[in-house]
Amino acid sequence: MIRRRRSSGPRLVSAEQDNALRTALFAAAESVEPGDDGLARIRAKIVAGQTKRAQWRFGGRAAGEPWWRSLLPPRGWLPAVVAAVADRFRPDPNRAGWFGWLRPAAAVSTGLFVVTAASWAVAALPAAIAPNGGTGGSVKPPAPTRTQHPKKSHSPGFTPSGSGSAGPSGQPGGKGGGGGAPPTGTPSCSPPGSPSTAPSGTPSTTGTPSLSASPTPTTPTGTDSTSPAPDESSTSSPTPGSAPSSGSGSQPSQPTPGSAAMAPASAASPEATGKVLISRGRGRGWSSSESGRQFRAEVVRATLVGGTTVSPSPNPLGTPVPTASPTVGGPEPTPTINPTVPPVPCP
Amino acid sequence: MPGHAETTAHNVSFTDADTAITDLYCAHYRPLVRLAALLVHDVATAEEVVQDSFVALHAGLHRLRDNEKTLAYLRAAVMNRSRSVLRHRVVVDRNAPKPAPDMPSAEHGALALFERSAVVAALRDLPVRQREVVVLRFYADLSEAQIASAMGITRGAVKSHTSRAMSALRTVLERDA
Repeated sequence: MIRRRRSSGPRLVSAEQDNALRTALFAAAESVEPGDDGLARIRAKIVAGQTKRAQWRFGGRAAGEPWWRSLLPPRGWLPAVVAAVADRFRPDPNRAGWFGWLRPAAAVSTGLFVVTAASWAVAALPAAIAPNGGTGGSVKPPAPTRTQHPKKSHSPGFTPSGSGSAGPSGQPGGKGGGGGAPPTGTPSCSPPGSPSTAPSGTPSTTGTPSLSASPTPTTPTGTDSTSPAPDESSTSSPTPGSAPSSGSGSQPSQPTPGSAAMAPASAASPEATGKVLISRGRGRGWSSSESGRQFRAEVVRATLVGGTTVSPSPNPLGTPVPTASPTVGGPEPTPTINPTVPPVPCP
Repeated sequence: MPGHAETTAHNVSFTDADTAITDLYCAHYRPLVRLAALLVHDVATAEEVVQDSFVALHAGLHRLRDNEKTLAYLRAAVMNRSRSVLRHRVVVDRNAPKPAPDMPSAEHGALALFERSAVVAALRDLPVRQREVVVLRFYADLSEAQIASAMGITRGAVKSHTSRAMSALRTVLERDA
């Protein structure tokens, strides 16, 4: 490989040309004779610059003024700045034609741009800071959280469908379900026609008697009731109303044996049950989907309503009332008492 | 009193700077003006350039930690300001009104005297970078490293500019001869 030698300029120039060029340059430079007032002019420029800086730094400071006054701009700085700007951006008479107006035009256009940008920024700043500010302050309610589901389903649970009696606050005609599930086929724990529930039933007290009531209905099919019913079975059942079926008629789905069976579990408090169920739902990942959320609400609602309605059923005979047919998925969702179940004598 | 001490220190520093400027003026003002005159082809402008460079040096003298770099700083300032003058002159000459033919400008006499040399006339036709390299090398007698430092370019660029400038000068001088 042939390596090309890089040429260096001065080496290629002959010595004669080099000397000739150097001599010519020195001769031309020797003809230049600067003025004698060079140092005076330099000092004058230095003093002028120092005066400008001193005016800016210490211009407004008197003898008795504090030191921090020196940090402030000097007095009368605004006219000076305006004059300097005007002098800086005035049309240049040395430039021919419209070129003399380049500097003023540039200054004006820059000023317009700054003003426009500032106004736009001021207008857009509130929207950037508070994006909801334009909605007139109406704030959307936050999405219901998991802990709010039991409470949401809590209130309709105490106002069972149609009965309007179990509600402690006497809410008439609760739509039963709150979540849109119409009350269908409420298995009555008391014989039809009897006064269904006490009008003064409170949710806290209703859950407690279910402990005594729950063991009794399990006698025929104790295995069903005692077996841990899956949550789906208990939750898929419609909300059992405390009152006789308002008729809606409907396909009474399974009277919730699960609810009766779950009653002991939920005997502590409905909210506790709801929390437990929600925690289970979390474990299964229900909260990730809308259907799971509805399903969880159903679970809570069924549990709360079941604990509320089954237990407080007044039993005039004082006997424990079998809640429903314990056969899950049985062919006959009879809302009445299963006649095959022998009544348990009251102690 | 802190203000008095501050003022005293300020004056002391100014005094030192003034002394340094005076020393530099006595030693390097004339060569620098000639160097600038070779670049800008105008004595008055060359003086302005060098004086402004001295003023800038006075303002930034406290930032120079090494006194040996003062001359290099001053030379680089002269080069940069000369380049700025030439750049501005190009714009002015492009848009300046044409003077009457019988009215020579005020600088005409000095330029006529200055451009009496054919070498300087040929030097004026060179590009700015090549002209600077030639002046710094053959008039200021600077090395390639010093030229590179003064112009802010690499040594290879210095060699390249020098080669091209010498080739162009040789062509012009041989043609005129």
